[in-house]
Amino acid sequence: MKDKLRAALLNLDVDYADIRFDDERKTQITLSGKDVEQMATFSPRGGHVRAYVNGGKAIASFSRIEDAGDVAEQTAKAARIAAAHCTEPIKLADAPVIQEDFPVVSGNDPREISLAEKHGLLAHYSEIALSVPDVLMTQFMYSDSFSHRTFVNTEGTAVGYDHLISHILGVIVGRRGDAVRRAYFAVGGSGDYGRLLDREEFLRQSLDELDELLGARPVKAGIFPVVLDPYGAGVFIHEAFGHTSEADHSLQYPLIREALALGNEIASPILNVFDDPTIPHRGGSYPIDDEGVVARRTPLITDGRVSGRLHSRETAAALNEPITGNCRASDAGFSPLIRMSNTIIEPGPHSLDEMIASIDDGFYVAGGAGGQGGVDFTFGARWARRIRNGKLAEMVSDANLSGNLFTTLTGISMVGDSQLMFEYFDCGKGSFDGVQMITRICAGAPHIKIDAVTVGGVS
Amino acid sequence: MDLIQQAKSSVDQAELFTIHRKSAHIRFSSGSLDLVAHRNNSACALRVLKNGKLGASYGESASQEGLLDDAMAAAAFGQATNFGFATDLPTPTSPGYNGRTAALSAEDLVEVCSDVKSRIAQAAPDAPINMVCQAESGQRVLETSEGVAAEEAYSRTELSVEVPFPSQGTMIGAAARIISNNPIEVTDEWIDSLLEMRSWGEQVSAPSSGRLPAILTPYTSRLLTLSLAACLSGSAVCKGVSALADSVGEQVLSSQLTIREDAMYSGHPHARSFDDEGVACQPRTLIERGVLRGFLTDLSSAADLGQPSTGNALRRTMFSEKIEDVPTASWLGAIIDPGDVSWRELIAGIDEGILVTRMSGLHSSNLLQGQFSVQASGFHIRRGKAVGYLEKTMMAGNIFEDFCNIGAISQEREYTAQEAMGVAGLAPYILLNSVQVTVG
Repeated sequence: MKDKLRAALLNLDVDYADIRFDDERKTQITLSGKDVEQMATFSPRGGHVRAYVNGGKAIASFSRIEDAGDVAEQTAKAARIAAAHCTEPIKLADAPVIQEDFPVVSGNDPREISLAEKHGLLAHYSEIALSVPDVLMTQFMYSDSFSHRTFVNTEGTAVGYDHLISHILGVIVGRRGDAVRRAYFAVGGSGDYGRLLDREEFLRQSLDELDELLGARPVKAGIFPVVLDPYGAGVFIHEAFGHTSEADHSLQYPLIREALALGNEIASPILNVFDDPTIPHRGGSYPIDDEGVVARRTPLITDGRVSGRLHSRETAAALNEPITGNCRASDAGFSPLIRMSNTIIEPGPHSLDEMIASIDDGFYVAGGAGGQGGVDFTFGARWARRIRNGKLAEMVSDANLSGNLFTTLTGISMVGDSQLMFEYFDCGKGSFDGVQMITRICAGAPHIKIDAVTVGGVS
Repeated sequence: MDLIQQAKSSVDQAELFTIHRKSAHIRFSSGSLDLVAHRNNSACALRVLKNGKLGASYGESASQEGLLDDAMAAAAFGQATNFGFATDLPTPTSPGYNGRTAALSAEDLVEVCSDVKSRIAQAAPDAPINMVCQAESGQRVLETSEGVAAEEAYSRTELSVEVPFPSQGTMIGAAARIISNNPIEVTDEWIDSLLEMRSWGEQVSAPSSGRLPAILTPYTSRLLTLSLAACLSGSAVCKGVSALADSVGEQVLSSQLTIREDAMYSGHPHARSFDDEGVACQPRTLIERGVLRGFLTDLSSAADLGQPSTGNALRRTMFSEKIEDVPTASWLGAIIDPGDVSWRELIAGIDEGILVTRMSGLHSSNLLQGQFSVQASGFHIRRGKAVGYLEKTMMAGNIFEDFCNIGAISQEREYTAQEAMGVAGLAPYILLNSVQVTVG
């Protein structure tokens, strides 16, 4: 494959070009209740070319490897059109030439497990959920994906690398009277099939939450102090700060660039955040990104001050900062974008009991029901619990939180002393041609206390 | 041998859906052309029924090795179905195809955007303009072992323009979009309206927390249509999780609202004559003066309901538009009837309220029950005028309460796109008399 891709780039009249070809194999089983909604295998293939000429940039996606040469030629031509109308020439930061392969290693490879066994495991979890009174509907999805990617550029880099991930995601809908509520079950997030096994206790925790949630009243709207559980804190740091740290936002929005200037104090000194794709066996772990840059840890907030941001080669050049290896594409149909990997808040000094005790009137919020990010962020809670006079009280439903990144970061007054990481996380990032969804991403955090957050609700 | 012929000897029934896409995109960031992109790819989905059980496989083309074997292997563990694949389909009419649109090149799109840029620059010379313009065309091909062999072409163009507010105090500026079957035409009125909206964003203005009137633009009407898509989906109805499961014939929304499903609506940029299972699209009224008249079904949910499919199968999920998404029932053309006032009159009639131009977080809401809690972007209205842009504003409620109390609907309508968190169709501005707003 490398030879075919090199041949496609040969003799191109460009300043720089690269080409990536993806060969993927996926399995997906979806149970809706006891019924198999989807039992399928996928074999998507395709390629992507990027060409840069005189500061102009063009890209193209294609399906057949036989077309690679023609597509590369056309893309080089399109880059010249771009150059003619480009008032701010695009440059690429230097990156080492890499000629290496990065095969995936898994001790318990999901590709070696039969469809029958995968189906049986999913049916087992589904049956546990369906056996609970008030559970109206369940949807459990198993998926695994093995992707072999080959990347070649005109600078001499030629690499092959693999991604392997498997997970189970369950959505459980319960109904009691007029109340319809949902609980979630998400496990896996690596190439280790073993992580999906023996998770009955984790599932029962979700079912217990659903039981209580079905009797909960809707949340009261207002501005409150909150303690976010590790999943809520993970969603917050991903949605609000993580997306803003992706340097394409800094390039596009000068105010973000100024606010996130290296060294700026943007949070309490107890807050430390980093992004690290080299942590082994997590959803956001990978050896090399989709523009041939080797993965590395990037500190983002150190002792409350901005200490880095996430880059592509383009943004690193534009902002004169080091490359970070965060440019990734969901599949062959898309050009790589700057994406987080494993984005993590480091543990701090406070116990959960201290955090709860510090609040007279507020909420404990369990996150993980989706969110949307940027300077103004919002995310949904799986459930929340009232805090009154320093003690946890009744559960409430339908809590959505929103706020401004910068005021919220300065409002983080306590950071918990133990950390959890998501097992399943997905994230969509808008691009000029649609949303790129990826599941090869993760967030982790301890509990955090925020002094004032807007809680949306109808009462 | 073609795949369907080959499948006939091995399985009970087979269905092959193939899509070929060709597109050109260009992007201007802060006034500079920073990307020219082309896409030319194909994908196919094979579904088989073997011994009454359903299996599927996916690839980039029907000639890819192993597709049939993979689908049969999946069917061994698949669900016993109570439906068969499509058997009959009138000759497709390609209502969404325009040859001039399909012929547009990247150079043509650059010309459109350069023109828009210069026209905006005349009124706002220092405005950094962000634009994305695209032209897409392709073919959707569906064959079944039961006799359907259909192909139809489509094409559409789209231009999105954003002009950040003068203060650049927010990630969001004034934005407008044109979606069309035809090559893009940008009128002076459209440019003037965009620049007027930009002038409203010179400062932040915070409304009071509490219940306020809210105007939804055609773009943010997805608050209604996306929630309805979840509630009207035949599978949600069968499973009893839809808030509308038992509401046919009942008043569920304001009597001012009539919403039709019409995938063949003239001019609809996503127009089509058959769905993603090869069933003919059927125009019909689903909400008639607020009264629920029916649901949206695909082959599977229709069989569960004991009805023929309404031809609303779509291979997509909320954030994905991939061929491997299981066909589920959705709007293919949500056409909301217009009202009789202009959208400017809607604003002029409000003492204090909000104009919602964008929302975030809708996917975190409990859409099946009509509940929503979103961060609203847009403008604060005081004494009939937009006086500043919104920050830290949340809007929450339930569509089956808040859309029962509609003040008015505009006569102007705009096409909406089938996209992440979006429903294809045609929508007006909608004035909700009272929505819970919380300002941080």
